[in-house]
Amino acid sequence: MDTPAIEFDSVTFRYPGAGAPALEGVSLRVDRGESLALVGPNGGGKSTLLWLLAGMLRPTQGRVRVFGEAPGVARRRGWIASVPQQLEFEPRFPASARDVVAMGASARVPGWRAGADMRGVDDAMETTGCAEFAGEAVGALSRGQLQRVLIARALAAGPRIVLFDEPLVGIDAPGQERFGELLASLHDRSDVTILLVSHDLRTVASGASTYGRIACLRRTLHFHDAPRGLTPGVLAEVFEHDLAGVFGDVHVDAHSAAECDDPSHAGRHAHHHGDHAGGDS
Amino acid sequence: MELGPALAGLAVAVMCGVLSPLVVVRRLAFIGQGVSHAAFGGIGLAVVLGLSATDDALATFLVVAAFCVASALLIGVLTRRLRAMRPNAAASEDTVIGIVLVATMALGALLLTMAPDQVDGGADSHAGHVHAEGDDHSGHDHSEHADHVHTPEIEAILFGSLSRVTMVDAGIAWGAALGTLGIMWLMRRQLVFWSFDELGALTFGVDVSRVRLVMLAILGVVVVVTMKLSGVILATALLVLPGAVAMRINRGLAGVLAISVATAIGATAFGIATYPMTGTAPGPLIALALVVFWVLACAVERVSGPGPASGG
Repeated sequence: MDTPAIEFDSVTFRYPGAGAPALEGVSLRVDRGESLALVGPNGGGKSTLLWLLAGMLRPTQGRVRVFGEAPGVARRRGWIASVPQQLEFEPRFPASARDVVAMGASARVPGWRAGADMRGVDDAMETTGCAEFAGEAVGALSRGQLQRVLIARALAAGPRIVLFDEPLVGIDAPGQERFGELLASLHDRSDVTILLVSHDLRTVASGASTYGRIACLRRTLHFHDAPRGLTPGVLAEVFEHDLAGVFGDVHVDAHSAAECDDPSHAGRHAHHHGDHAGGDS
Repeated sequence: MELGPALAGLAVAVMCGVLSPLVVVRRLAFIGQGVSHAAFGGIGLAVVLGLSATDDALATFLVVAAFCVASALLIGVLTRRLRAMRPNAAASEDTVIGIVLVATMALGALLLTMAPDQVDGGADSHAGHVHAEGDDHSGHDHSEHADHVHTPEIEAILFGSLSRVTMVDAGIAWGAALGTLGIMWLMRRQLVFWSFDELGALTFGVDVSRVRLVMLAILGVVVVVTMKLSGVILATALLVLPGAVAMRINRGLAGVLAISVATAIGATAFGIATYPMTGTAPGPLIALALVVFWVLACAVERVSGPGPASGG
């Protein structure tokens, strides 16, 4: 069998000075070319998991491997690219959209060598639909345009793994649909491994057909494997009909309430329901 | 206009002009402030070592630069430890800088006041130029007038002085300019990525901690050269304002760098050119000229808008 793209082996992580660990006993295996979505509440350890995966944090216990290597090694070899949640940058930053995409391609090219191949940059911009605003100043882009630029930046780096951290925060409905399509085409056309984390089930639903598996992360990890009922198809269907049903039926089906006793689920639940009713009807 | 100050000023302006947009977007102004105050500690150290700023210009530069770079790297190493605990811990940097700033400044003040005789030795040939042009101070009694000479000397350190700038200083400034600009050119892609999005650059495999440390070291060197002209307190002006001006009128990297360098050159030239008329320390003149440029840039931005980041 191939080396897994991502492997977490009983990983526990505790921030210095924190009482409870942010992650506890997380084991995870993602194969090359697979897409995995992680859903969990805020503070459930999603960002911590991404930072462990990129080698920015080291596990308190357990082991993380990326294509068989330590995460820091994988990161420095340019195997990992990320699409960040909400990028804080100087609004007057002197760069065009294309300049930002080119950062991904030339991140590790030393100054004494010629720059990265710009065809890769242009291809990535074509794929993500950024070509028409390539010359715009990055600070002038809309939230949706910026997201596409950041996805293009990740693709231009030619990575083995792309991490999406809350990719649909602040993205409007057409943008969300477009993101789902983009994710699907990325999954179909390449053997890049995709890991997406979000607190928002709609984010997962918009790319539902893409994910091989969906897991729930709240300090510990719960898999919703296909035989248990929460297949991406089911999830998509549930989302289409009644969003409230996700936490009500499928969630309980997939693992017992005791395993994932998030008190905020009830509140968020109603919130999603309201959003859904307003947005889609 | 004398050749030494003009040449040194040009080197300083080019160096600060290129560095300034980075300082603005990466919010290094406070680090710059911290490092420039560290220079005060470095000067104190040089004085205690018996070095004269005019007679031993190169040795003084090396001592002060080493002290500044060490302080900058200390800030870098301490904040790196914070980051190892939480990758997006930016706020705690403030405290580290604040601590290093007061520690080095206090050390400098202590060393300078403890060694007044050495201060006079380095200062008597030029302190008079600043405050009493043409007055012959060479014969006065050090032990009796220590305080009188001492204050202008510290003032020159704080606010800059042109009469202290010799051809040797100009040579040092150009050496520092070529060195720092060369390093920045070699790291340009990583610098641009890092300055736009530090966490992103880290994930994409940029050695961010190395970039940070190199930038802090460069900042240390640039500050030491700059403060000769502008003084310790106002060195930050040349590090912050040219970039802030340029980013108000342009959104392309090449355009911003060009405007930033031009702004720095303009303000430095103004400070040096008006010196014979005013006789004041050049630091405040340079800083005020930069502020005027900034106000004008704000007006230009308001009227015409930034325009596209064309050219790529």
